[in-house]
Amino acid sequence: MNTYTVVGDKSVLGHEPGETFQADIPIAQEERLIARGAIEPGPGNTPLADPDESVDRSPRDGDEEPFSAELAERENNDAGDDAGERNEL
Amino acid sequence: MGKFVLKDAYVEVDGTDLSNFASSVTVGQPADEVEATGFGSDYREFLQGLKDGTITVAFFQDFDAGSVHDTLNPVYQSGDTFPLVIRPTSAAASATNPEFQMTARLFDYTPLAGGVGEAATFDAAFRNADQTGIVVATS
Repeated sequence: MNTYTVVGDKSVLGHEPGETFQADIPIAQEERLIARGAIEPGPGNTPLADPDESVDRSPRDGDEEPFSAELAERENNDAGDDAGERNEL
Repeated sequence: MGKFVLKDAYVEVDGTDLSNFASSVTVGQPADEVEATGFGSDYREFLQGLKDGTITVAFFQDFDAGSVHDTLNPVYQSGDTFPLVIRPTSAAASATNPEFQMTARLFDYTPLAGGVGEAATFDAAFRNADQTGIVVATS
């Protein structure tokens, strides 16, 4: 959890002005709260991932396979095998 | 809780308490009516389809730093999602003071409206932006 102080004149996340509190605030929301002068971050805070960025990024149907040396080697071997089969025919 | 008069509703937009600038709130969560009437019935039959969530708040506009415009305009301009929290009263969430939480997007923002001699007010319709819809928390 990170530490913040309410520096504006309105409550933030249920905390009164002047109050210091601990919370896990997503980066985008933290940036907006700081930009409008609602909170100040405490020292040593570590950024929290944005919820939108924490969605599953695993490949889906239709996605291109990520390149890897292992994959390239396997494709080369497959190509070689195919060529061999064609030669046999 | 019994019958009650709305005098102290809590409206928190993107983490900031804007209750003092809100004069009405509506938590709407309609579901699609999907017809499933088959032959042989005298009555139409409906199934409940996809649910929707819209929370509408009437605001008094305020252009002071950190206030209404400063809160709503950035999320409207960016199209980012943000948390919206509504409670019947400003007391902590409980079984008799349920908290309605929604990850919202703002698709329409009217920064200035009103006539001569009137307070500058506008309605903001916050739309659901998450698969969880409107979550009701009691603690």
